[in-house]
Amino acid sequence: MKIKLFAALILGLLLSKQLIAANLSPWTEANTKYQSGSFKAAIDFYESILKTGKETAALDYNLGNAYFRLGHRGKALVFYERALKISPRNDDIRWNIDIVKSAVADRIEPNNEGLIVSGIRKITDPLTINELSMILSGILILFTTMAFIAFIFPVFRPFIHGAGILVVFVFLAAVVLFAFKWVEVKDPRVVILDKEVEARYGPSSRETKAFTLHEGAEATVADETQDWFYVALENKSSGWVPKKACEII
Amino acid sequence: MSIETSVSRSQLAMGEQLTLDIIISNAEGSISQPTLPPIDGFSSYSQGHSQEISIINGRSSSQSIFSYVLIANSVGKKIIGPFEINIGGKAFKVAAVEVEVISDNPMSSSSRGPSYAQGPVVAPPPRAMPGDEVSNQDIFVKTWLDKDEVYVNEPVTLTYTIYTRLSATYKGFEKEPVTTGFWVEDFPPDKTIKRTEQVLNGSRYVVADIRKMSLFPTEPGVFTIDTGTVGATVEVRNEQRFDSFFSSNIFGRRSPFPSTSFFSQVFSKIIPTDKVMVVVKALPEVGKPAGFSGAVGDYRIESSVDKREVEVGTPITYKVRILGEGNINTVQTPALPKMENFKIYDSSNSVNISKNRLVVEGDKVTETVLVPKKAGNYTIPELEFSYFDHKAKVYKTIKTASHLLLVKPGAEPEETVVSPGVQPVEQAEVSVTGKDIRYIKTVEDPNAVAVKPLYKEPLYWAFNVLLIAASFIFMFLTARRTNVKDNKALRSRGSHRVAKAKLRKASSLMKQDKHEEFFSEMSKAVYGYFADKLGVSSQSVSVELIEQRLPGNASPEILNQIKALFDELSMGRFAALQKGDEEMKRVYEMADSVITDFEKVKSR
Repeated sequence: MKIKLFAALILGLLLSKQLIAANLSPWTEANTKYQSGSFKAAIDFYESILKTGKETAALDYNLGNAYFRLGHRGKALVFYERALKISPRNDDIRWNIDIVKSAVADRIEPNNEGLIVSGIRKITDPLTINELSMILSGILILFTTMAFIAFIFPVFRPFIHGAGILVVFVFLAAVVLFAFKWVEVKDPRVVILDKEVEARYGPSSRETKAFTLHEGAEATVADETQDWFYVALENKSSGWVPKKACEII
Repeated sequence: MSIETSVSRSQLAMGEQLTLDIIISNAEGSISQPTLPPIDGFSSYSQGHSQEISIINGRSSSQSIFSYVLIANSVGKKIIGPFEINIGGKAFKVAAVEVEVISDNPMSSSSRGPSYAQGPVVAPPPRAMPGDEVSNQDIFVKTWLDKDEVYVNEPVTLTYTIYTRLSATYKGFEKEPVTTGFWVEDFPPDKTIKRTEQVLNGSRYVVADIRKMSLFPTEPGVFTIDTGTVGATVEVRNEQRFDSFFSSNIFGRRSPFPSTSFFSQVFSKIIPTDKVMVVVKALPEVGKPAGFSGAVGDYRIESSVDKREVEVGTPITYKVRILGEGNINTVQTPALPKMENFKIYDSSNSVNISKNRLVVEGDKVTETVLVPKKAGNYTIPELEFSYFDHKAKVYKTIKTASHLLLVKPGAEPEETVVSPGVQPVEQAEVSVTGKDIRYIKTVEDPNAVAVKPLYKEPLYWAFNVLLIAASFIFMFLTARRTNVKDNKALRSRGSHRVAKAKLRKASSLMKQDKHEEFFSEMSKAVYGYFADKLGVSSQSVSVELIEQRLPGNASPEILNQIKALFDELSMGRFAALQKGDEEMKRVYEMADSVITDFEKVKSR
């Protein structure tokens, strides 16, 4: 009798949950869960959207927030960085990344970079690689159009001649920016998820320890084996960390 | 806010000390000095409190460090803590730390603490022999305490005196004394070594105090101090023994060498010392003042402020100086009570110890920064400090002077005209009081979607290459057409010259009466000229074409002339023989004038 009642209760619960899910979109549902403080449930919903639908910046951002609230800073950073990759001009994402990074135990500072490099970075940071690709193609289209006009209407040739030189320079600048961004994004990056992980000189736990990384540290993957990533830090030190201790952004 | 504890070492030997730091970062509210409960296996002293405040862009961060010196007095794994600390009225737990106390090992004891090697009496020997031959009557060390019975924290002086009948050099301690249960202050060696002579049991001894140290007992009880062993090198000049040997040697004569230096021998000697005992009494409970914090000795207290009249917001430095004899390191400066309308920052603590008079004395200066928040007259209250005077065996309480402060209002706010409209208010920056992540997004931008990067698509690159190729093709075509046009212009410009040359050739043919050739050459000259002018082949030259291409300003007359010339030429070619010299001449002149006229039309 008791068991029956219990089963009925469970069934009822399941049904009601499904009913709610049917009424609200998983997105709204997840946000409601987040708002009420049940972050675990919110994560489940967000992840389900991630599995079935599109990965939007807002989704990644909200997932990051939920993980942050549960204390998983590494996981939060992974999602924030993914969101930033999609929307590099979003202030909220940058703010949250700064907050997470301020709590990371490792202070990894890049080697002093010159004025030119930091200047280029200022331009490329708020742009995605795809935007840069499109700018590059756009300039090419403009140039081709100009060459076409010069061919068809000789009258415009003197104007186009001057503008063409300008466009060539703009194109070269765009190529530099593109190349810079490409170097930045070509290698995948990882975030350390474990509280503490030893980076070693080789892909095995028998190898000598090189340094210790903590949750939330970011690194670039330079190489990998089945179970290990060879990661390089911003300050140029590098070591092998187990794959299960980190996640690709 | 975070609270951390750190110890300077996790493993130490009996009698050694470690520093325990309690670090409180970004505390909100005032922190009261944590009182350490008795820690099992350690005697503890507060070493002071340091505070660091940094204000960057209006955001302040602070760090308070409470330091304690712990002296291990029993062996084993010890857990220090957990403690409670009161911050802003709330109690916070401070995590416990585990340390291991090992029994004193001789290896570390020799390297621990200072070992004084005193100025040599003789140069260091090249080879030292075991000092068995030097008896304990020749050289020995006496250790003695100036008191047998002391109170906790009352200094007792331990002195090592060396007695020697031989020429000896003190080489420092072979084994350091074990001073478990005491806070040790070594006196500087140059103040302690005094050489005197003394006759003992009929022998003359050189006597020197080789080391003096002040011991401050940390807890009551009966303590036996293992005073260690002293190393020395001893020079023995035993002339008689060797003289008698050499006086009967085979040469039958005394050695020619000065025997004193030749036969002096150097031994290294380890001199044991006596253990000493001291009874440590607890401080009397009778008459113990309420604010007593364990200071024993003889102290005075002073206080000062650097400014008496200030404006609101200007910091005032309040200094409390405790000076006198005693273990000044462990003296706790009385804390300033909370003062309304002031921000109080404990800024620094400095301790200055002097041991020059063979007593441990010095001063401890605590600086506090006060920032007044409101104008008015204020008093920094008297601070009470109590200590136990071990000479008089009474508790004494001393006070600092109170200080009057006159706080004037800060810079006058700018006068504003009072209008019936809006009254301007003093504006403050919007300050961020907490840091947290920003809220989730409730609206999804459907365009901000993760996509495969374009640069990984071969199609993207194909498109770009196509564009580059296309623009090059267009540029190439444009350039080539310009060349063709240039050729045409060249042809047009040279046409008159070419035609003239051909006419000259025709004229010479006319003189030779070669009719056929003349007309052929004339045709070539005229059609070639127009072909060059129009940029077409000479076969397609016709009057109609010339008429089409002719600029509007040309007179129809010239067209008629051209027509007539063309007729003449075609007629002449087919009926050359019928034409006489007259005819040829007429055609020639006609062609010449038409070309000259046409040139004028074109160039106009």
